[in-house]
Amino acid sequence: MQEIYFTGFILLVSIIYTFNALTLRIGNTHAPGPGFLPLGIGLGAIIMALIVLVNSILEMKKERINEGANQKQDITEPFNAKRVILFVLGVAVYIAIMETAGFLIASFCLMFYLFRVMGIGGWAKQIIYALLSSGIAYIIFALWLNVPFPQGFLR
Amino acid sequence: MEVISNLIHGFQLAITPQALVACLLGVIIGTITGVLPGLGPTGAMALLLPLSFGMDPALGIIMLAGIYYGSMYGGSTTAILVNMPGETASVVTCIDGYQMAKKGRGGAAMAVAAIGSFVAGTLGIVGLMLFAPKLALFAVKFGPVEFFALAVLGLILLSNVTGKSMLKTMLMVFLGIMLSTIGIDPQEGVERLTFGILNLQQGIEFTIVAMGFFGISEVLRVVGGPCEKSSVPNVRFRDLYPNKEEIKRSINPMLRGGVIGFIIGLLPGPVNFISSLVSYRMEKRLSKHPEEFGKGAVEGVAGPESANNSAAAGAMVPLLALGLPFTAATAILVSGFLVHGVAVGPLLIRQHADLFWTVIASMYIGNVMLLIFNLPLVGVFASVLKIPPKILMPIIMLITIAGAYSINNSIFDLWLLLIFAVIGYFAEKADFDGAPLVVGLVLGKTLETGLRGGLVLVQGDIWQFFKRPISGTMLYIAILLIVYSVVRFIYAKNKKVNTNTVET
Repeated sequence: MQEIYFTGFILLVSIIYTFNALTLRIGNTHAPGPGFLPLGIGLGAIIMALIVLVNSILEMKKERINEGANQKQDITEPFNAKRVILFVLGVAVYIAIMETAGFLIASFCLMFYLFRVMGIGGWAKQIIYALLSSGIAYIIFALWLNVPFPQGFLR
Repeated sequence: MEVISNLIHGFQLAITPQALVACLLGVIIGTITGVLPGLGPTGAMALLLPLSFGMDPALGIIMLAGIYYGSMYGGSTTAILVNMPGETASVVTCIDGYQMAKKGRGGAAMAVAAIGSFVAGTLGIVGLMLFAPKLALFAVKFGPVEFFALAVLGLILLSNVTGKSMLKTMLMVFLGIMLSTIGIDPQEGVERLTFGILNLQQGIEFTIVAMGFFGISEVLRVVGGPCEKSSVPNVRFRDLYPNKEEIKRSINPMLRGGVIGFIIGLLPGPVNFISSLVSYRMEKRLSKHPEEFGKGAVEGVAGPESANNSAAAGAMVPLLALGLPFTAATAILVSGFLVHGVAVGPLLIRQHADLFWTVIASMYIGNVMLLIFNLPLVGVFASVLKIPPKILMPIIMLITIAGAYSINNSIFDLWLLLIFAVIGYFAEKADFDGAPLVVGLVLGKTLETGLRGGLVLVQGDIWQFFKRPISGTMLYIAILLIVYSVVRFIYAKNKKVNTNTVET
């Protein structure tokens, strides 16, 4: 099922891309324009995505029929979707606040949050780990490598 | 003779304290990367790329190359000790390496893997040293038509050898090329496919895509799993000696693995994994004791581990001679060259001879360092596995984000990083490989420049692409490969239908 959703996503992206490529000057084989390759690649991707999609749907139907007949056991490995979503949300908030809060403060907050999500020890341990990791990252990247991170409140 | 004098000059530059430290740093980080399951060489090189920005060009490239071939060494440790490959190239080593460990020969298996990696890695560098300059000399004659044909052939070959569905691989290649066309059109200066987003005018940085696809998405995958730490057995130094019989049985597989690995390394795709698989199959076929394979045959460790190291050197040939990275890891090396203002292409060896020969010499030194460090420190490297993923994953996440920001000092890049991490996460779940996307993204520019420049050159007569000897040969091979793949696909489908009909 994930294969179908993902291929559907690529198909959608390819369609949007191809429509945008049509707005560019295509040119011809004598003088190809900026839209020449994008149009060809976009159309190719749409055709390819359609073939993969149809193929996946047919495979899934077959598998369902076979599963019904064989009553297969579910052997999927344990999966913690909540933790993945919390990680992605945490990073999204981190990126959103980095400009305002600055790298150091935002990184401390992110690390404290991620260690909490991972369930490491109590508050004190999480704060110490967050302080250490964000501090070391700041020393390496900002002080040693001179990366001009946003300073935020500390400006 | 010229090769030898160049190499001696390279060694003179590679034995400076700074170069030795860069090399040591690279191979140690590479080994740790290889040991850690999940974080592959591509992800690690992408992570460490910003560290190379402040370095001298040669030092940065020496470090990044060290990570690449160093990871091939480290991958075998976990494969042998805990039956868990540190990176894909060591999947095959699990089969017999873990069985040897269960019989108490784990130390010997690791020593054979390290020695084999050294022997074959050195053979691979010899091949690279002799082959790359000649190929570059030949490639100087290449025009846009030939580069277009080479990029097409590379991408078609890639979709045939990844081991995943050819259609899915091709789709990811197309997606990569689509991404490469975003930004200002290099020939006409027109803004295209940016959807009005100002930050996209400069195009999409492929390092960010690679970091998202291979770094952060891998963190998400581990975080979504059980996150348990591995129990690693202790290995004593005296356990590391292979016996006479094991040494005797390992020599030929090491040499064969070295040759096979180098040849496969020249092709596009996951060459390290494929070379180890081909070597394993070959050793099983040639062995006087094929029944021992799968039960702890030393040849099953010596051959594949040698092959994947040699393939790492082979994969550098198309990069250094043609400027075309055929694997995701060598694509990161392109960034390493470009940020230092070194253009990759057939002229690299001529225009930056010092850099080329220093890197080659450092690879010899790096291989010796790996052998010296890997044997006594194998237990130390394995202990990295004892760090709980619960602590390690948030730290890797922060380092990746900081590294990604430092490439262009752009918050927008961080959004791209997150988006590609999520796409990479779902791609993996849907059994799509990320490497073809990254290679497509890198080769997309060569493909477009070659196509448009070539069409202008031949005045729109597309058949000229087939009539020119070099491009024609490459394009006909590409067509043959497509026909072969289609026939194979139809044959496999028919076979499946026939089997199902018989079953019912």
